[in-house]
Amino acid sequence: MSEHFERPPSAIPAGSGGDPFAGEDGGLPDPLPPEQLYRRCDPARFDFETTAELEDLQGVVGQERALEALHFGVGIRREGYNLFVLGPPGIGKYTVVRQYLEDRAGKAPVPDDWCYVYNFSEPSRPRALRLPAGRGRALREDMARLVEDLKTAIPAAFETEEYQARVREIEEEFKERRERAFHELAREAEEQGIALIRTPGGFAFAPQRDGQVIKPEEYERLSAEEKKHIEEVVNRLQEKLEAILLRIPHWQREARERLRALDHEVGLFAAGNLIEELKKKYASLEAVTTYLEQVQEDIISNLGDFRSREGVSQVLGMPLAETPSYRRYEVNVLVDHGDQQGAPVIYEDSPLYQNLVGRVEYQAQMGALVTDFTLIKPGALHRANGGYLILEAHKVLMQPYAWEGLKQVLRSQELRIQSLGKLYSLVSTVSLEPEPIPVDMKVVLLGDRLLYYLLMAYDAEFAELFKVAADFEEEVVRTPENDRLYARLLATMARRESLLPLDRHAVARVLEHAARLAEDAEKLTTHLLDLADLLREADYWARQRRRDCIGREDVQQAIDAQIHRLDRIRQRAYENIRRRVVLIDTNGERVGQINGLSVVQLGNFAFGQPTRITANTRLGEGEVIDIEREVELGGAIHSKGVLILSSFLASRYATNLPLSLSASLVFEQSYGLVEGDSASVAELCALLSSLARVPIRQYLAVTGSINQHGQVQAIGGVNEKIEGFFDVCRERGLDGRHGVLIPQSNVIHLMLRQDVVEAVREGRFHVYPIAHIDQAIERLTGLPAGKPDAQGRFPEGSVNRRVADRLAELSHIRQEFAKAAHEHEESHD
Amino acid sequence: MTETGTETGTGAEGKHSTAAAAGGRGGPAIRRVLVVLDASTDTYEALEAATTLAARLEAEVMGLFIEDVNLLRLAALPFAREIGLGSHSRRLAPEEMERRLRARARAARTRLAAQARQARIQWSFEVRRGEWRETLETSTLEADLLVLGEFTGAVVPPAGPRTGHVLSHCLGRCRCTLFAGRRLHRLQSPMVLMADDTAAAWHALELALRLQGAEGRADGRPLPVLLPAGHPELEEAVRRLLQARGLHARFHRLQDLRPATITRAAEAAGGDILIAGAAQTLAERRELEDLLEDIHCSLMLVSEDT
Repeated sequence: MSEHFERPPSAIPAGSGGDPFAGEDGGLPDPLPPEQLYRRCDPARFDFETTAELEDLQGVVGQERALEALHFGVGIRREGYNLFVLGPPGIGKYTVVRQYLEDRAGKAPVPDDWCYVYNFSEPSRPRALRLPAGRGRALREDMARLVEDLKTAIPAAFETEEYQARVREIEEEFKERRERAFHELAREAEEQGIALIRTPGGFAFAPQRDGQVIKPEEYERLSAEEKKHIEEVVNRLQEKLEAILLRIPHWQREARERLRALDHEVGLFAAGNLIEELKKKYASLEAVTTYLEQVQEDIISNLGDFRSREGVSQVLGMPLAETPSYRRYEVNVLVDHGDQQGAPVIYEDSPLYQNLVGRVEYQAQMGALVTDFTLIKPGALHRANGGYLILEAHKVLMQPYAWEGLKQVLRSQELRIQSLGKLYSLVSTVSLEPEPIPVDMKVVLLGDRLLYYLLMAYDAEFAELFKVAADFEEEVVRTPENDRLYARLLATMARRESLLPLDRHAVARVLEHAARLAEDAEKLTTHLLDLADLLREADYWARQRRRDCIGREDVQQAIDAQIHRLDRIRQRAYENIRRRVVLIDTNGERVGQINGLSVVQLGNFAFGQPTRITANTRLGEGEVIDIEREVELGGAIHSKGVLILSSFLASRYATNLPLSLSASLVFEQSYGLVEGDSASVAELCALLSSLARVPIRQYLAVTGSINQHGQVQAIGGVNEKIEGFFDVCRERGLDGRHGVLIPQSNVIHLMLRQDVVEAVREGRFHVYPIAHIDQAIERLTGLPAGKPDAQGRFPEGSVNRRVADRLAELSHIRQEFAKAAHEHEESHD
Repeated sequence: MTETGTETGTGAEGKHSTAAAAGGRGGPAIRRVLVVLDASTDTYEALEAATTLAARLEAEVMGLFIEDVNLLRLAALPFAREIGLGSHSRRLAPEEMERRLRARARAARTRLAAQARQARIQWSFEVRRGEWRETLETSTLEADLLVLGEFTGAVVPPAGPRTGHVLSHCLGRCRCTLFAGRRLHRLQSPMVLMADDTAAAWHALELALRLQGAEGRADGRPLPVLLPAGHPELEEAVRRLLQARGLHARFHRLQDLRPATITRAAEAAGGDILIAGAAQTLAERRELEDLLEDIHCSLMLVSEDT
């Protein structure tokens, strides 16, 4: 929790260079009348009883600039003209953008389908096929049917008598050829008394008699010449046998080739017709027909896959993939626009890198991870190709590599699926490298302004890739016309969410609340999320009361309940003040002590509370010590405010004198960070009170920042601040003196609670506008501030005179000190 | 020298051989199916055919592994060399040949046992060493059906069909039914019956009906029957017999009974197994060899004595 002495919600003219004492001329402004504290919306101005009578609002209220940018960004078909839609969360950016894009996309042509198919020449690089919308799915089904047909057509073709007979012919021919060679050799051997013998491992020759190999002892009895002759003959025959055996592989190869040619012929007969039909069907798509030709070649080369029995093979009891696998003939329809009307509008809620650019998934098989082209999964960019992709900028930036991935796609105008591990060389295993797909789309980033400006400043590519900014207004001017549009917006929201209609009093109250949310009586917030929540909760209370439409009191109850659910910390803070744990005086007068006002922001709930600011002054060398700053509890803006008031003090009261002051300022009992300059008026008043020794009225509180000329400037959270002091005072009892001083320029921001307005109406509480520090001093002290004469002297008895005199006194004392010190030094010399 | 060893086993405890019962139905009594094996793995096809036949006929399958004595004599010769299919030449030695033959016999036995166990039939396995003709003649005395596949003996015949010489040799000497062919078709393959008016042919018809089994009758397709033209009484007799068994015949009348005519007719009838009586004219040795050279179907020659 930190306290903020806020700057104004919007730039307020500084007024520097104007009359520094303008406030004195006009005297003290009167306290504001109740009408200026709350700008009511008069239900009588509406010409409807309930929002049920109103038509839906097709567009949005007050976002003409953003819509023009959208129109331009979407319309221009040039590289880099993607959009960044700026605005705070909950303002309705997504709803507006989505609605606009869907309207536009509905009239656009449906983009093509994209499929990945097997690359028969390079399996690790799946091919991308582009088909007209809906034909990707058809191709997938056609290919599945083709495979099923082939599973029966090919085995049937190979089971025909004709095929079997031709196979037999080839086999017999080979067998015959081989046997004939052996028989001829056997005959030649026989003529020379030698037998050709089949052995377990081949062939051999041996001398024979009556068809039987002679016994070894018989051989031994032969003469040496006979033996020699036999051996010579056997050697010769062996050479011939070797020659035959060398020819056998050649014959085998020849037979195999003939069988293969036969298979090719039969396979072509079985598959050719089926594939030809598909080729005719896809004749207009050259890429598909080329693919089908490759399919045909592959099928013919792998006929065994279709001839063998299907089944699931197992290793160690674990099932492997289907064997044989027909997966390579599948078609992975990555993007199917078969049911799409117009161009796609895709919102990716989780823009992880792989959710954007797609990924290649893996399957576990026997402890190993395997993949193929059927496991390529699309990303949002695939789905949005040819249309629009909406992304939340901060989500993209938070996901590792998502931003770089998105930019890479927009830069290269093609979508390449790469695993991060491989991209950054974390893993070097062989994986798929799917063929890149060309992209043509608009990317719309939604984000807050800070993000946009940071990206502009720090990412050189951002400006090139997101050339169109659509800046959403956070508020619209409160005009009768806009009030009417707002009422239609409420009617639309209620209808879309199936809520009860709002009666016109409820509409008026919602509009008043919208002005309060905008922190401006003259504007309405465009923060649709908050309004939608308010409507839902008001609907709940209306239904609790069994009403058929939402009334003003339902809206009020919803607002009160929202506050009540969140104001535990506020109650604790007020309780501490009530029990005087936190010291805040709301009565009497004190020198050098003032009630400043701070705003505590807790999530989307803010409340104001008084803070005691005290000042001490003494002789010194012109420094004003900001104690918050010294202990590093003060922010830079706060320090700036203190320095400005120091400058104002010196220039106004000690123009010709050395500022011989040492002052210290502190936020009493503040233990958190103090930021903002909205307490600088209060700080200056406390300082002047201390210098002038004039007490300040503690039943008043003050807020506002100050410039070097003493002009009071607007601050933020004015409503919460006033209500905060009002709540504290009311607990102690309002006596008609209590009130708050606010910058005149903040009067237009007032949308105070009804109880505050009523107290003002009854004269029990006051809101004082101030434009100059002198007005604040007079209101806080009850003494005239004092206007300088021609010589620059303030009138006697005025606060300013007292301040000037005190500063002169301090200067004189300092000079005396300096003189004495000088004399002392000289006497020593 | 002939060495013998016999091992027996059963793949179906409690399941009896009911070949006798089959014989009781008037068909040939086939109790023992003998399959001839050698060191070549080419004979494994015959092993499978034999176990299938035995299972269908509820008979016992007997494996006969012949260790051709020519191989052992070869290995004992001082210059003996074996040239492998890769044309690698290596020295042969008697001990090594013995070892290799034992290993092949073991493999054949294991295969037979596995197939018999699967078919739930009784089986036996015997290794005999000797010259194949003598060994076969002795062994077939105990068999009712001899299955010859690619068995050729170790000595490659100088000419003619590879297996025909074995079949024609057996046909002249063995009294049992023969199942042979360059390819041994499965029993589910279509059969063609060759009918004449011999006792062996009627046995063949009975055996064909048994082998066809219930599924043959259920598919309703007519059984192709080849028979000599001009024998209407034979045709009628065959028709009646088939009708009595719930079957129809499709007759193919042959002008002559030369092997070439029978071959063409069998193939035209779409048969893979030709079943005929062994007493028919085609039993002439020379013609049979020619037939086996030409025909692509398997041949079952049913013995009159079975």
